[in-house]
Order: sequence, then C-alpha cells, then structure tokens
Amino acid sequence: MSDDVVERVITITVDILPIKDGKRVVMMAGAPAGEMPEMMVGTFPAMHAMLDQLWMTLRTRKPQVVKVKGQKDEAEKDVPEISVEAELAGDAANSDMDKAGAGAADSVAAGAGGGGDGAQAGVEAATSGGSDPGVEVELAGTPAVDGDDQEVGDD
Amino acid sequence: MTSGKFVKYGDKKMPVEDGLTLDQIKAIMARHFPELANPRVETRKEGEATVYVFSKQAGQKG
Repeated sequence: MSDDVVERVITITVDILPIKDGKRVVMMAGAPAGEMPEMMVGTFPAMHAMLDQLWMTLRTRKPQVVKVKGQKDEAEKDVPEISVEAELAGDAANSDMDKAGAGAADSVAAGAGGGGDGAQAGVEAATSGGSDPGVEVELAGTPAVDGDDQEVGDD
Repeated sequence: MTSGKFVKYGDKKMPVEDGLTLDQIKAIMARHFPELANPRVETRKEGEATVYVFSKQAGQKG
C-alpha cells in the first residue's frame, strides 16, 4: 500500500520581475520544508511549463535535507542528558541518606540507652543533653560566624 | 569540474541557473531558510564553476 509514503508540503514561489529589455522574467523556486530549493529562471510565457518541470523535479529528486553543523549542536544541547552514572549516583545518595537516617535513629535509640560514639555522639548529646558533645556542636558552627564577623569588619 | 553556478548550504550543494543573480539567490534562500535572512556568502571558484557558500551570520549581542 501507499501508507508508507509520507506526503510533505512542497512550497513553490514564483517571482514575476518587471519587464526588462522587452522581456518579463520569471523566477521560480521550490522545495519541501528544510530542503535545498530548486531554482529556475525563464520568461513569462514559459511560466507554466517551468512550473510543471519544477514540480516533477521536486517529486522525483532525492530528499535534500540540509544539515548545518551549528544547528545540529544546538539541537543536541536542548536534549537533557541523563546518564546512567548520574542515576546511580542519585540512588546511592538516597541510599546513603536512608542509611544515615537509620543510623541517627539507631544513635538516638542507643543514646537513650547510654551507648554510641564518634559522629553520632552529637546526636546523642542533643538528645541526651551531655556536656562534651555539646561543645562539639558549638565548634562546628563557630567558623561560619567568625567569617561573617570578619566580612562585616572589612566593610 | 563542471561549469556554472552552485549554491552550498550546510552539507548540501545544488546547481543553479546562470540567469539568476546572487541577490536573487539570496532572496530565495532566505525564503526557504529564515536563518539566512542576513546570510554570510562566500564566493569560491572551483575550476570553471562558481560556488556560493551560504552560512548563518553570527547574531549581535544585546
């Protein structure tokens, strides 16, 4: 069947130029969208014959789709790139966050029981109100406050 | 090498009739490719043939 054949719009333009040296010249061009146009020039009386010829040429020629390097690059830039690595990294980050959350929960639970060490001690301190881990929490926030003070002082 | 005029844009090169001037070719190309409304045209001599190489003019900032 002819279902496989895709009909495209063919644009043909005819320019009828002013009379010059007693002849009226006709300029004709046509192509499907995005393809190189066929260009013809002739006299006014031959316009219909030119139109037929142009039409047949456009119907029978191979597609002349223009590919411009810059445009291709721009088109590629528009396509968002989602790599497998990025997805895996995202999954890993979520996984780490889940683990951290679980760890914190464990730590809080352990803090209630009086156990736990390392980074989890801060959480224990916040929940259990211990003295030494509380100092650690203050130190962690101190450099940022100092930096802000210095910037204000410089101004 | 064949004689005559050719138009090249991107990866395509087409023959054009000798009766067409460069200005007329520019007008036709601009109709079919709006990005060529203000094109950069390089005229090359390839043997007997004249090749007009069309490319998009870089836009101005601002």
